[in-house]
Amino acid sequence: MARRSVRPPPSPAPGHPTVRSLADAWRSGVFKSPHQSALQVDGASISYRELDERARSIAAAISQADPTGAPVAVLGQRSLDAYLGVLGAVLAGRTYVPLHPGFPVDRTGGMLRRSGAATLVVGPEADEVARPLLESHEGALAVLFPTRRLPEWSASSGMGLRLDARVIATTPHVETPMVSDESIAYLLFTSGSTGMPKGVGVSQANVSAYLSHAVSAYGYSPADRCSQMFDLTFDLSVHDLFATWMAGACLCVPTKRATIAPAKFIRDEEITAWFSVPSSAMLMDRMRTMKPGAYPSLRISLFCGEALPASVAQKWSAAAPNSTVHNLYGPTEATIAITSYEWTANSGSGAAVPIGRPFPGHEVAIVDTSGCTVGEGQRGELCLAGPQVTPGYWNDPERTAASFVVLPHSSDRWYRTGDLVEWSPSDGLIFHGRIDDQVQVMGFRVELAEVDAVLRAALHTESVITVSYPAGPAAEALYAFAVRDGDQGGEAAALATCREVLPPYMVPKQVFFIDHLPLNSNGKIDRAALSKTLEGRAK
Amino acid sequence: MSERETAMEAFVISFLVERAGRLGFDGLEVDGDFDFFESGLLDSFGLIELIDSVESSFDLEVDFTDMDPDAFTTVDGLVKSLLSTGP
Repeated sequence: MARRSVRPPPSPAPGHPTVRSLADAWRSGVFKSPHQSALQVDGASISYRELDERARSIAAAISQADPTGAPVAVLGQRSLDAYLGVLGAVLAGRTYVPLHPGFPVDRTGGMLRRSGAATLVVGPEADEVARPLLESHEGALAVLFPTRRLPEWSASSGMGLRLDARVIATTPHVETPMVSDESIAYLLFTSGSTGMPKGVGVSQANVSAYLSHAVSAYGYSPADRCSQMFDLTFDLSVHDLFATWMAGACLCVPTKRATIAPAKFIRDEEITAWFSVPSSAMLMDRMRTMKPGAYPSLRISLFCGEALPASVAQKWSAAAPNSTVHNLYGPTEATIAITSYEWTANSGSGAAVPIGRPFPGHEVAIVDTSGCTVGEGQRGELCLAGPQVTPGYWNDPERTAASFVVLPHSSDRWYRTGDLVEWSPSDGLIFHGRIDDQVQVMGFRVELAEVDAVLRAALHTESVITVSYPAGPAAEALYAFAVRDGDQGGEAAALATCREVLPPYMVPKQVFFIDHLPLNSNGKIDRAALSKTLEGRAK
Repeated sequence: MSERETAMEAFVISFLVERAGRLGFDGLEVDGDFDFFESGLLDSFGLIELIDSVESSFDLEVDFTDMDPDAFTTVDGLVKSLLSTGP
C-alpha cells in the first residue's frame, strides 16, 4: 500500500531536558524549597532539607553495604521508609526496583532475584512478606530498616548485612555519584503473557525527558500540593514523586484506605495537583463524592492508565471547577506518559476522551501488520519514537527485538505498543483498545493468558478462559469461564490458588462453569462474547 | 444498638461471609471489628457493591464526601457511617 505519513504537525522544538537524572530532579526541589514540606506521610510532614539529610544517609549506607553498584529493591508502600528507600537508591546512583508488600511472596521473590538487587529496603508495613522473602532468597542481601531498630525476625532470615535506623544515621555521607544518561533509573515488572512478569528498565535520559516536559507543561511550582495515589510498583508513581520534587512542591500521601475513597483527603489536604486512573474518579462518583464544586483547591487534574470516559471528565471538571483536565497516555516502555489531550467542555462528543498528541520531541506512527503506515482515519497499531522510548526488556533480548523495531522507511527505533489507534486531525490520537489479549484493570496491565495459565493448573482443565468486564479498554474486574470436566477443583479452591500466585488485581472475581467455550469466526475462543454474557451476572 | 443497626450489621456480615465462602477465603472471623479492606476480601469495586447493596435494602442514599475512609472499612464502622447521614 502507499505509504502516507500520519505524523502530527510539527511539535514545538524539543526542549532540552532541564534535569539529567532523578537525583537532579530531587536536588532541584531541595534548592528551590529547602525549608518547605517535601513529603506528608503517616501524619508527619518532612522538609526538603530533612528528607535530603535522611536520604543521603540511606544512600551512604547502600554504598557501604554494596559497593558493586547493583540495583536496590524497595519493599514498602505509603510509608516514610518506602520514600526514603527510593530516594536513597536514587542518591546512591542506583537503579531502584519497587516491590509491592501486597503481592504474593513467590512473585515478588522472582522479581527480586531477576533484578539482581543486592540491597533491600523494608518498610514496617512489609514485614509479613519480607520475612518469607528473605528466607527463600538465595545469596546475600543487605537489608536496610530506615526508621526503626532491627525487627527480631531479621537476624534469622537469610544472609547478609542488616542495618537499622541508628547505624544508617551515623554512616558518613558520600557524594552522589555521576550517573550516565543510559543507566537505568528504575526497573518495573508488568504482567507477561508467558506467565512470567516482564521487567522494563527506564533510563535516566528517558525519565529526564519526561520530567522536563511534564513539570513545565503542567506548571508545577513550590506552591503545589500533589496527590500520591499510585502504588510505587506502577510507573505513574514516578511522576507523582519526581515531578512534585523537581518543582519543590509537597507530595501528599493518602493512606491505603483513603485511596479507595479520596474525597476527604483532597479536601482536607487542599490538594492542587491530582493524578490518578479514571477508575478512581468513577468510584468517587459512585460514592456520591463528585458534587459540583466539591474540590475547589484543584488547579490541575491528570488521568492516565486506562480510557477516560467523557462523562467522567465532565463530572470531574464540574467537581473541580478551577482545574484543567488532561488525559494522558503512555506504556511503561515509553516512560510514564507520552501523549496528552486537554479536555474542555467544547471537546468532541465521543464516549472516550482522545489521547491527543505526543510530547515534544516524540513521533508517532500508525501502522498495519506489515509495519507500513496506514492512511488518515484508518486504524492501526500505535508506534512511538523519541527520547522516552526505553532500552527494552530487562535481560530479555528476544522480547526486546520483537517490540522495539525499525519500521520500513524509517531509521528510528520504534516501540510497538500493541494499542489500536487512529489519527484525527482535530484531536490527535483516538484510542480503540488492544490488538491482543492484554487488558487494563484499574489501570494495571494484565495479560489474560497469564491468568488463564494459573487457572488451568488450578482447575485441571485446558478449557479455561479469563475475560475482563465490562468489555472494552477500562475493566473493573476479571471473570473466568471453565468447562466442567469430571473431577476438578471448585471455584473457591481455584480462586484461593490464584491469590497465592497472582497480585490482587489479577485474581478473577468469579469462575463460571459452562458446557463449552464459544468460538469466534477465526476459530478462537470468543472472549468478547463471554464478556457480554456477564451483563447482569457479574457480582 | 438500634434494631435497624442490628439488622444492617447482620446484612453486612452475611454479604461478607457469602463472599468469603465463594472466593475460598478460609479462617476469616467476620464480626463487627472485621476489616474487609485490610483482609483483601473486598477491593474498591467490592466496597461499592456492598454499599449499593446495603443502600438498596435499607432505602438509604449516603454522601461519602466528608467521611473518613479509615472509619468505614470495618463492619461496625461502615454501619455507623451509613446510619450517620441516613434518614
